[in-house]
Amino acid sequence: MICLIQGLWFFVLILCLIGAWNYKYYIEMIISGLVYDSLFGQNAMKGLMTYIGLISATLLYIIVNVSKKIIRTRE
Amino acid sequence: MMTYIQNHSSNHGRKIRITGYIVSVIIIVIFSVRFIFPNLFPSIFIAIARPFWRVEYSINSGQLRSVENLLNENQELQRKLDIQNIEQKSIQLYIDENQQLKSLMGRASTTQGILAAVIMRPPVSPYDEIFLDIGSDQGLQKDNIVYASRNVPIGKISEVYSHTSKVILFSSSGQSYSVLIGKNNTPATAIGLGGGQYSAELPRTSVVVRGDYVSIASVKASLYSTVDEIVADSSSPFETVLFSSPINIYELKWAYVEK
Repeated sequence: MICLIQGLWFFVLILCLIGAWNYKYYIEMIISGLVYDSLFGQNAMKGLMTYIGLISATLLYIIVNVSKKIIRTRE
Repeated sequence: MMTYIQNHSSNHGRKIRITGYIVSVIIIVIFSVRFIFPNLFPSIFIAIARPFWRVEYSINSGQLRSVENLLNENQELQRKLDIQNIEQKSIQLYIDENQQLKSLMGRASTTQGILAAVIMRPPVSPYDEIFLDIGSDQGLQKDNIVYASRNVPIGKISEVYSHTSKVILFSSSGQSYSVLIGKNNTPATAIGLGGGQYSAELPRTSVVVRGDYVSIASVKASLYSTVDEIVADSSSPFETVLFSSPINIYELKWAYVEK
């Protein structure tokens, strides 16, 4: 949360990826995208760019979960 | 006892569907809330983040440091400010020159003309003559009007060379030009007295006072000078108006030639 408030999105990204890999339902990842948009959302940019954090977080969440399922099923 | 084989694939698909539904619902709710109340989430999260940002600002701005450190820093900044003031004075020359050039170029944007450097001026050159660093190579011609700044004509080109040109100032001794004096634009003939000084004869009935503008009749909206003194003789039907150039020709560094 501190990293998110300070705008250190790359640290947040790494932590979220680790969390999504370790925990079954890591919804905090999507919430972090929402928080990022709320704090640093570029209001001047219209359209989907306002939700870039939320969209990125959701896509990453889906990708990580699908990858996790595929890899763990093979194991 | 009967044994049932558990259908793993159907359970797996159900879990994926449930997860997908949950995520979809969350996303839809978030988008809906942001669409209906666009400031709801930012106000909440900024209220949470504000104390952290405030602490960071305090640390960065030195509010958490000791009084002794602040006093030392204050002295150090004061010393730097003194140095900056000294440097500022030393570059004032360049600032003035830059502003002078900018004002001249501003005129160039509206009229056809060219900027020239005054390479020689009185008293090095003959009185009331200056030399410019451009000539026929820049298309100058005889009788082109020369300005000292935006609306202050000072003379005209008298001789053109390949890379230089000579300007005879309006104030040169014996030169005479038609001017308009005062609010009523009283026509008169200005006679150069040398050294940037002029005189003109006007009827005593003309309403001219000190400080009235003097402009050149042939140049539109060009300030020539302002009336410095009026000499009247009761025995004469005329009065003599004295005026001088608003530009100090002895400090002239740049000139503008209107083509």
